[in-house]
Amino acid sequence: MTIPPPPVPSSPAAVPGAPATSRRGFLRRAAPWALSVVLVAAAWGLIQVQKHEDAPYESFVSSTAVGERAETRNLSVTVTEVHAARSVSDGQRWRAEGTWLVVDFDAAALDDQFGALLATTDLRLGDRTYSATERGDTAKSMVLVTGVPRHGSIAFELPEGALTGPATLVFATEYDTSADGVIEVSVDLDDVPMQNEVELDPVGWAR
Amino acid sequence: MGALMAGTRGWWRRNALALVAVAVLLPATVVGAAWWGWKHAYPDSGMPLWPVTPGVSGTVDLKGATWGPVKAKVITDTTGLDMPAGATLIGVTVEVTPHGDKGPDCYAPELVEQSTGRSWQSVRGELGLSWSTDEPESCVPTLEGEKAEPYQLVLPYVVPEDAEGPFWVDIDPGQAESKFVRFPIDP
Repeated sequence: MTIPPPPVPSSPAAVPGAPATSRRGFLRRAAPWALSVVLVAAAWGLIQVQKHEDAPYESFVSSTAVGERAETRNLSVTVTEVHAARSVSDGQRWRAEGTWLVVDFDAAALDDQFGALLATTDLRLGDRTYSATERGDTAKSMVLVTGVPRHGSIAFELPEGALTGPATLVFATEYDTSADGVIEVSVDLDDVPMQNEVELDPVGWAR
Repeated sequence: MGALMAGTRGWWRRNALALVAVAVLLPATVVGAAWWGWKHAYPDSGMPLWPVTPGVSGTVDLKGATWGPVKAKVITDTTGLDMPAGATLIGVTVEVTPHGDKGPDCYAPELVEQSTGRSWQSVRGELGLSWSTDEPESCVPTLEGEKAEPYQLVLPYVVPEDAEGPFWVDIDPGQAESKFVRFPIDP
């Protein structure tokens, strides 16, 4: 560390006089104010860049579209097709009427097969979140295999007339997706044609 | 000055026993707490942390059983099986010889790719095979009044084509002081 040389007094300051003394006094009074303003501004700036209180629990979202593959922690999903239907069946024993959204997809684990299953399969539509139906033989909670995709369908039963506007499909390997990866697939329900009857794809290897 | 020095020496001498006790107990407490914490975090946690690999015999003794030898091969003839395209079927068998009357427990044995750490579990059901007592995928529990007998784990693994050997077959018998059985294989 170098010690700076003592300041060379400039000629006006060197001469003891009223103007120099009052200027120094002003600076001495103004300095705390200036410092306060700087600190308040810095605090404001810090608040601007700060994340909100729930930020540590937010999910890590991988967004994609129908037909595109997305990856997150230990999960890859490709939604292959989306159908709207007046009635749905699993090709075996189960058949139901109503307003249905049927989603066909491929899904695989990425690194670890231990306990890997598709726990979360939700549809977000407006302010509401629907879970995939537990009825029928669907790919809800499908077991995942590392690197080898499995294929299946899930179905959402919706209120009459709800099949409109933008919606988001949510896939995750955990029921609680806080601070964990999720895959979100955007779907425009206005583009999905209504069919009379849709059959769910049987759960099996992706072809 | 001399009196003061004598007084100081006197204090050390008077408290000699307590000082020796502190000198012994303080490090003992630190070491003891550290050991207790380590024991709680590692061997007592039950997490599979330390692999036990087989020697020349090809077997491992752990948790009241002899595990191994292991056979592994790529199965090319998949007739009658529901196999995905672009995937490889690796068949692994593990001999299990219980030592006592009760056979060991274990979690589903995993196949681990050594280069990446990716892991698989056997997929008998997904291949279209039904559950069979002759070909268990996981440790066979010994029922009340029965005596455990040697058996063979039969583990069909489906891995993507980009998965490359060597692999490990890991079997965690659970609560084995954090040890688990690890067989290196390269089918």
